Amino acid sequence: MSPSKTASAVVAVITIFLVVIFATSESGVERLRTHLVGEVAPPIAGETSDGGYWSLDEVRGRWLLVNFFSTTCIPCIEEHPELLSFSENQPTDTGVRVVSVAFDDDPLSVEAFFEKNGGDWPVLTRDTGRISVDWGVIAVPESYLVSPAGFVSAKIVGGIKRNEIENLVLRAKRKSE
Amino acid sequence: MNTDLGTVFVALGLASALLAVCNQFYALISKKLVLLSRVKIPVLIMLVAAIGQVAVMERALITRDFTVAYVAQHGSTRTPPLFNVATLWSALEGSILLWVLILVGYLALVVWRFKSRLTDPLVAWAVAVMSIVCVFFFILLIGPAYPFGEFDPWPGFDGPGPNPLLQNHILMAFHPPILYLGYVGMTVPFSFAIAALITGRIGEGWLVQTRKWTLIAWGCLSLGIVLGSWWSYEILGWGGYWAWDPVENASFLPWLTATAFLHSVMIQEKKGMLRVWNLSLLCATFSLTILGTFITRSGVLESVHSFTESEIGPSLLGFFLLIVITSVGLIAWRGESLRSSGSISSPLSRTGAFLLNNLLFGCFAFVVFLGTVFPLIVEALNGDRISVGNPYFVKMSTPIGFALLFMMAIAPALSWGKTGLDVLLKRLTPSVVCGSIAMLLGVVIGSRGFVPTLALGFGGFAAGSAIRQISFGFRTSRFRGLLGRNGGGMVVHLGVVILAVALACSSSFLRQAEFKFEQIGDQATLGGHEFKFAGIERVELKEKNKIIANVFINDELFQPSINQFPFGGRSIGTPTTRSTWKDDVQLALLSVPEESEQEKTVIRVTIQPMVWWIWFGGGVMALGTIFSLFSRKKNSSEESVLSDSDNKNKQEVKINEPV
Amino acid sequence: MKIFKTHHLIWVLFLIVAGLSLAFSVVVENPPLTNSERVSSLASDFACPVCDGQSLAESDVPVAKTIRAAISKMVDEGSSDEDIRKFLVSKFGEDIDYNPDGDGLTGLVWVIPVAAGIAALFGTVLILFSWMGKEKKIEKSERKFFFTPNSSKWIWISLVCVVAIGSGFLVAKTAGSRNSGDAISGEIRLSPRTLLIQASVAPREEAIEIYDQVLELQPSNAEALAYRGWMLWLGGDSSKSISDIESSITVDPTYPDARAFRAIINFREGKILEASEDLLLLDSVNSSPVIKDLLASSRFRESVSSELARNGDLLLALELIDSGTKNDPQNSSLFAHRGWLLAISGDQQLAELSLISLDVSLEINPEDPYAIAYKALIEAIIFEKMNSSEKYVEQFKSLPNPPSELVELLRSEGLL
Repeated sequence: MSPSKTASAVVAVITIFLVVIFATSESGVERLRTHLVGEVAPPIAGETSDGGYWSLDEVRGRWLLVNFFSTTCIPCIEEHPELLSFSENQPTDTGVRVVSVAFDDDPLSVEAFFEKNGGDWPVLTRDTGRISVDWGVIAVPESYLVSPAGFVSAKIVGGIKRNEIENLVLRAKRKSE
Repeated sequence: MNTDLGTVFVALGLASALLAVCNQFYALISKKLVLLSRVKIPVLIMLVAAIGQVAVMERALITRDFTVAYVAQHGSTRTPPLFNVATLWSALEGSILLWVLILVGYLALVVWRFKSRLTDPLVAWAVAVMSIVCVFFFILLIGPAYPFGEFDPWPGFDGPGPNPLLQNHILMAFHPPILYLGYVGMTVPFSFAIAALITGRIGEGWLVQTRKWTLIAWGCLSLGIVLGSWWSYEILGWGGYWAWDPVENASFLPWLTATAFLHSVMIQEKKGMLRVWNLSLLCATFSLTILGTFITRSGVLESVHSFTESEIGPSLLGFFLLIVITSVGLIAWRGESLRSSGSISSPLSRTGAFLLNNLLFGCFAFVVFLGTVFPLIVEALNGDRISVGNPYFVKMSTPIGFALLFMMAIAPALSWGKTGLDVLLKRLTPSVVCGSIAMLLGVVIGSRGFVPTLALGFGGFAAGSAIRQISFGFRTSRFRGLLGRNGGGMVVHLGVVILAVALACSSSFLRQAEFKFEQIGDQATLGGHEFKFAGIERVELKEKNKIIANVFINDELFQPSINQFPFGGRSIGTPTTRSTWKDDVQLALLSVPEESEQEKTVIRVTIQPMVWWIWFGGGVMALGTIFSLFSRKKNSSEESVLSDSDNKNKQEVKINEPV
Repeated sequence: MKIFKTHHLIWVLFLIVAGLSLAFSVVVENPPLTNSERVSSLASDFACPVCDGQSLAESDVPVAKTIRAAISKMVDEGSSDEDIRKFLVSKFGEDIDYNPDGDGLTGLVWVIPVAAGIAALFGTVLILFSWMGKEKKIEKSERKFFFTPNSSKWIWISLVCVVAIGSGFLVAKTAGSRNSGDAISGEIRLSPRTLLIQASVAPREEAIEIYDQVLELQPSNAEALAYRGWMLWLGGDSSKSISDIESSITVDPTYPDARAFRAIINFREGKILEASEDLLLLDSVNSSPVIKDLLASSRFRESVSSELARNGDLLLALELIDSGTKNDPQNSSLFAHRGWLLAISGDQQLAELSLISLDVSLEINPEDPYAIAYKALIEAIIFEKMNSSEKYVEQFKSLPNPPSELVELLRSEGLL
């Protein structure tokens, strides 16, 4: 085969290959980034909105729901009542604990929000940037379920509903038994 | 009314384009060549249609006619008038309207320029191919990119206006049209290339004639890309002007192959060789413009520059495939019979240099292309998501860039035939002096590091050769020495050298810091400049609210701001740039106390040297392109771009080159 | 032998100039970039996870700002570029890194262009020679290494393939891993931490220079500002030193060393109240042992409290001392001084309280010269118990190296 024909054939094949790839690739695919699931939960520690100090160590041995949120994001505001009802229905001694971490938000707004809408679980408001990066948070709301042993057992992207979390917790508990 | 009128024009355009195609095919196949001259009529109607549809859309935009869906989606009463006109190309459908206008404009120009030769099958096929491209784009307009949809606005309806990022700067009005003039302009040489392949008439002057068209398109593309970089730079506020982003690469790829063509075609003129290769380059250039358009509009690769996703993607991809298969098929069919048997006497000649040049540009294009599509390939093959970005492209293209600068230095000093090494060294003496002095001066002024200093050296080397060539032109024809292919080309080379050196230097010495100011009078220094904070003010305009920070740089006031657009609640930072020939200082307002949890005003300062020279270099390139379109002498057989046959030039033509 | 023409000489000369310039520019160190510039340079090589193709440096969405802040902290702590890259990739995935990996399928993006480029170069050379071969008038000397095309063709081809692919992998390995920012010129970035440690053991002049360097890298380094200010003050340059120390306190109000320095300076300039304020603040934060030692050995607190008492503010003076003893309960000198202040107040009741403090001091350190001396004085002058006073005087005399001021004091009262 002459050089022209060989070259033409090669170019044609490569082009068809590329066109197939372009045609079948999806754009803007939802990124789940689940590489935190199954890993040890990164540390969380800091000053809470009422001036105390909270760290992940305090809930060792308990299931924990870590909720990253911001008072300026609509799904976060919508999920708050669900979080509230979930937390209130958890048994005090053995139930799932909740902690909220404010993401790029003004501490005073967060405090005001919790005063207005309720919620008596620890809320970390200051210097939460490093925590967010450690947990790989890219958007809010995101919630993580942490097992009593300290491993991240599930990640929920987007606003949560009470029964969804309860089911998730049940499944996770069953899996760990 | 506007929608109806617009639709009529679109339909008219499509119909006449089809008519033109049919006319050409019929006449060519049935050999009734006389009929070919009447293609003027459908082309004229196409032109009327193209102008008409743009006029209608502009009218709708300017009068804020929200019954037109496009205007309702992208226009607004709050947008300033100039930006309203530019809204035409701020979104997909309108951009296709612009594309069609320019495309049909070029077709009309071709028909007019070749009006005495319309019956020549070569020209006829070229017109046919261009008309087919027109048909495609008119189909897009009537189908997936239909701009004249109707909308029923409720009373008091106001559109959202174009994307705020596109309202921030006046370059929005210039960059897309000029870029399109370049992009779309590549259709012309492509059509002639296909025509040459079909008719088998490859060894004739058509190539030289279309070279002028390629040059104009190339010039516009170069200018368009530089303006685009400038625009990014002014808008983004952190000193970046080129990010090797997929859309940017998409515009760069055809530029690379077109540049390769402009040089390689000289071998064809002088020696009659590389004919098939040059045709391939033209086909590749056009294919890449279509692929580039696809990448920009399909959302397949993420980019800040992309248009919002639309259904136009598959059509463009299909058209791309069609073009490649056609080109490749024709080359395979005709390739061997079009080969010429040429010879050269030595690799150390301008021919050898241009051959190497082809290789370098080919590699460059390959690297940029591979890097751009590689994430898609990897994801398709094993599902992993990776990114290929700035570090890759810089590492790969820097050596190629240096090699190209080196070639720019030695090629003008080489003869077309064999050149003795000693002769070459002698000719290059002024260049090496220039290069080493440039390096020395650079180091004295403060250049540190391998890349920028070497760039200065190679740049000076190349500049020396270019100036030497220009001086020969001066010697024989005074100021007209700047004109013509030789003179103008050397001016373009100078522009490229300035741009390349400025690029290397500015990216190597970037200094950046974020300063937090609390009270009026707070000061900071960076890189020898003093910044004094003078407070914040708020301004409310019709279309946006501005928060302005007042900062004094060495006693001059600058006002970086944040613009808040009520629609969609978007805040866009508007940086300010203090540009001098020595360096650029950019200020970007990042946050003000009320809007974040800090109590300070955060301003990012970026200091980059030599940025102004990048735009200047681009301007010199454009100037050089214009120069090279003119002929140096009225009756110079060598300089005139309209010589009819390259067979005549097979003998070695002497350049004004004292040996 | 060839005669060397002018242009040869010019070439050699200017190539030397060029070579020297290049060597100079590579060897002479660029001023090290500040930490924030390193952060920007790093950020521009990573993608913002939620944006359409912007880098972390370009984007201003909250996620990008947060990640930039995290990178900034890591840079301040002295992490290397590779550490930071590993961290980001582990949190956000491989596609946050704009520099594609050198291994695996991804590595091909490096291998393929290099291999193809070298192969193409070979091809171009082939084409060139095939063109040349057609010229009948070729001289023998032109035909360099390309002898018989056909026989050695496959050897050449396989050789080129090996070289091409090998170079490709070489490039992939080196380029795919992260160098510190600038791949070709390789700058060394000093960390403020290293410099500060160097400065703490350097003589004063040198230390000031090192602190200057640290502040170039990190203009808001509280430690460097405070210590530079202190060094300058020790050298006698009071105006600049005060501004440095003030800046340090502004930058980090909780940094104790700056407060200590300011307290000392204030005291020396007669601003007693400010000095005591700073001292009190110092007590509420944890200061370094160096500072504690400095203050204790110079009896700074005691001096300040004496001044306060002299100005009539006995209460504040006592507060100051009490604050000191709270932090340092084993400081016998403070208790001694407390007793002294109480005694010289003129109030009889307080004088009795003073004895208690002095006793505490002696409990802690039976050989505390100040306690002994003060006891001697107080017993003699206030309580007029000459016998017990004598006892203490004897004890004092038996001390190896009594402070001269105490000797003076005892002498002036006729006890010695």
